[in-house]
Amino acid sequence: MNALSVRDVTVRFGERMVLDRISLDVEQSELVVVMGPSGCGKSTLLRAIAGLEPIAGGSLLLDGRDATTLPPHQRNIGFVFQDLALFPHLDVGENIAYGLRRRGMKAPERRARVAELLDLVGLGDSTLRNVQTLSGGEQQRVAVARALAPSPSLLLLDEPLSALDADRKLGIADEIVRVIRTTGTAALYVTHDEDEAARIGSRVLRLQDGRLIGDAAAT
Amino acid sequence: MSWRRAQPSEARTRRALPHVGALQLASVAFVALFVIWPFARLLVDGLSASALGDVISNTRVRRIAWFTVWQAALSTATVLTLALPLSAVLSRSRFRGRRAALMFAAAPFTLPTVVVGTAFLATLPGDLRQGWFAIICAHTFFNVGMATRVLTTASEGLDSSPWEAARTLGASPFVAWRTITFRQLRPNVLAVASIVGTLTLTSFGTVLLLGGPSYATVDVEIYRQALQVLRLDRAAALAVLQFAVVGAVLVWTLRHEPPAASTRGRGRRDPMPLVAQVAATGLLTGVVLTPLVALTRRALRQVDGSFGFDNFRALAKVTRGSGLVDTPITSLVVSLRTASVAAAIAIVVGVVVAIAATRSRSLAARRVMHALGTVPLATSAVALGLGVLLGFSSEPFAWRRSALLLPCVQAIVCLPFVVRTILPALAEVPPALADAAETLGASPWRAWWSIDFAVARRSIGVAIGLAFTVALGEFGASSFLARPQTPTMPIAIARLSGRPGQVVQGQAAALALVLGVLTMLCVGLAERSRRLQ
Repeated sequence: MNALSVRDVTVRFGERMVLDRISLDVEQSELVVVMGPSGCGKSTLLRAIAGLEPIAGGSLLLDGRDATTLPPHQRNIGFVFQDLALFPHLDVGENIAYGLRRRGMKAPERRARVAELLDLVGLGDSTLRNVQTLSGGEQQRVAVARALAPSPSLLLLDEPLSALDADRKLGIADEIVRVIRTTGTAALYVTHDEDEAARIGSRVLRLQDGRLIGDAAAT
Repeated sequence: MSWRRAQPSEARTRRALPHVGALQLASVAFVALFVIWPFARLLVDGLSASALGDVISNTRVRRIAWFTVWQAALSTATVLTLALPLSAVLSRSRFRGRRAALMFAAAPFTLPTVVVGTAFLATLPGDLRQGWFAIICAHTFFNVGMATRVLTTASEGLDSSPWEAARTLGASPFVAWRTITFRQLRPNVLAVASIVGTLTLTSFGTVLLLGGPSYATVDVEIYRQALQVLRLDRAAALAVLQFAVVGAVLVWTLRHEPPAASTRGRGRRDPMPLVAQVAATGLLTGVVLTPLVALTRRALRQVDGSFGFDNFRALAKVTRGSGLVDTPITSLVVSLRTASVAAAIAIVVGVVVAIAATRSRSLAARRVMHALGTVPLATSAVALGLGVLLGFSSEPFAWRRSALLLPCVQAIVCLPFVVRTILPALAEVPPALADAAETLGASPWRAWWSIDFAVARRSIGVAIGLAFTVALGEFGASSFLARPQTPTMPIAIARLSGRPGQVVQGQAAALALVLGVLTMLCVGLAERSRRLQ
C-alpha cells in the first residue's frame, strides 16, 4: 500500500490548465523530490494533495484510502509551507501542539510529544519561546516539528528552504532529511533548486507546464 | 470614513513652512475657544460640591448610568455577534456587486441619529415600539453594516497561510477560524468594539426617541435636566461624570488602535458555499433594509390608510399641535444654511490644522496640532452643547444670539472627520515633490499650494462632503443652541416624532426620509470622489 497515489489529477485556474493529468506514487517511508521551474505547478500539486486546492478531475489515495473529496483537516497530512506560516500568537510549544489538540490528545501526552519533537529537531528547551524571536533556521525546524507532531501519513514540503540564506540551505536540507528519515514518514519535497534536489538524494520527478516529464533516481 | 490615526510621519524629511506659527496659533485659538473653554465652564459648574453630590446620590441617576452601560455593552455584543460571521462569509465571497452590497449596508452608519430613531418608531410593532429592545435594534441597525465592512476588509487583508496550516493540522474550518483567523483579527475587532461602544455609550437622538418614559442614557438625562427641568448645575455634573467615562474608553481605544494593514492577503481562499454567501448577503441587506422600508412606508401612508404624498405636502403647512411654529420644510432651509457655513468653517480650520500638523518645525508641535484636530472626538455632542450654552451666555463671550455660534460648534463636531481625511492625504505627498518645486524657483508656500495641496485636493472634496453630512445630521449640540423658532431639521424631526397623533407622526417620517435621502446623497458623492482618488 502506497502512502500516496495520485491518479490523473487535473487542476484548472479558470481556463488555464495548471496541472494536467498528473499521476505519481509515494511509497511508505519514501522521500520523493518534485523539481521544476517556478510557476510550473509544483505548489499547486502539493496544495491539491492537501485539499487546499479544488481539483477538476482525477483521484487521490492516502494510505490506500480514497481522499479525493476529504476536507484538509481529515486527510492526516503534514504541510511545511513556503513562508512557514507559524502562528504568531502562539509560542513554540503551542505551535507544535496545535495539531495534537485538534486530535484530542490530553495535555500530559501533548507535552511529552512536543518535547520529543523539539529534541528531534534540536531545539530542546525552546518550548516557551516566541516564534517571532527565532532565527530563520529555528523557525524552519519548528515548522517541520509542527507538521510531524501528529504523525501524519504523508509530509508535504513546499520549498521549505526558500526563506534561508544560500550558504545555510544545504546544511538545513540535510537536517530535514535526517528528521524525516528518523520518523519514517513518507514525504513529497518540492523545490526549484538543482543542488537542493541532488542533496536530498532520492527519487526526483520533474514537473514542467503542469505535466510530469521525467522520473529518475538521483544518485 | 477612516478611523485609523494618521501618524505625524516623515518627521525628518518634511521641512517647516515659514510663518507656520500663525497657523498653530489660529488652530489653538479656535479649539480653545469652542472646546476647552466650554468644557472648563462645565467642569467649574459640574464639580461644585452640591451638584455633584446631588447627582451621585440620586438613585434615578444611578439607574440611568447603569442602563447606559449595559445597553452599550449589549449593543456592542449584538453588533459583533452579527458582524463576525457575516464578515467571515463575505470576505470569502466572490459574487459581483459584493462591494456595492457592503457599501450599502454601511450607509446607515452615516444617517443622523434622529432619522434612525424615527425609522424604528415605524418598524417595530405595538409594545416593542419604545423601550430597551427598540434601542438595541436601532443601535445594531446603525452599526452592523459599518462593522461588517471593516471586518470584511480586514479579513481580506489577512495572510491566509496560517489558516491553511491549521487546516492541514486537523482543524475544521470553524476551529481554524476560531483559533487562528479570529486571533489575527483581534486588533480590528477591538477597534470596532471601541467605536460601537463609544457611540452607543453617548447615544442621544436615537434613545431620546426610542427610550420612551422609562429608558434614558446619560446624554438624554443631561438634555432633560438642562432644557426641561432647567437644572443646569445637575446637567453639568452629569456631563463631567460622562466625560470621565468616555475619556477612559477613548484613551483605551487609542492605545489599542489596530496596526496599519499588514501585507495584502497571499493565496486565494476557496470561496464559501453559495448558500452561505446568499444567506449572509440576504441577512445583512435585510437588517439594513427593513427599517428603511418601514420609514418609507410610514412617510407615504396617509391618515386614511392609503398611500400617497399627503405627508410631504403637509411639510409646507403649519400644523397645530406639531410643536413647530413655522412649516416643517423651513427647517430644511435652516439646516442647509447652517450646515454649509459649518462645513466651510470646518474645512478652513481643518486645512490650517493639517498644514500645522505636517509642516511645523518640531515633531512635538506636529503631534500637538494633530491631537488638536482629533480632540473633539473625545467629547459627547450633548456635553459640548451644554458647555457652549454655559460658556457663551455671559461676558466675555456673550455670543448666544450670534448666528455664527451654531455653525462654529457644528464645525467643531465635524473637525475630527475633516482632519482625519485631509491629514493622511497631505502626509502621503512625497516631500521630494515640494523640494523639487523649490529648486525650480517656487517659494515654500507656492510649492505647498501648487504641489502638496494640488496633489491632495481630492481629499478636500471628500472632507467637504463628510463635514456637510455630519453638520446636517448634528443633533446633540444643536438641540442646545438652535433658536426655538428656527429649529434645524433633526430638531424639527425629533419634535414631531415626540408628539402623539397620526398626522404629526406621518410628517415626522416624511421629514426624516428627506433628511435621510439628503444624507445618503452627500455620502455617496463623497465616496465617489474618494474612489476617484
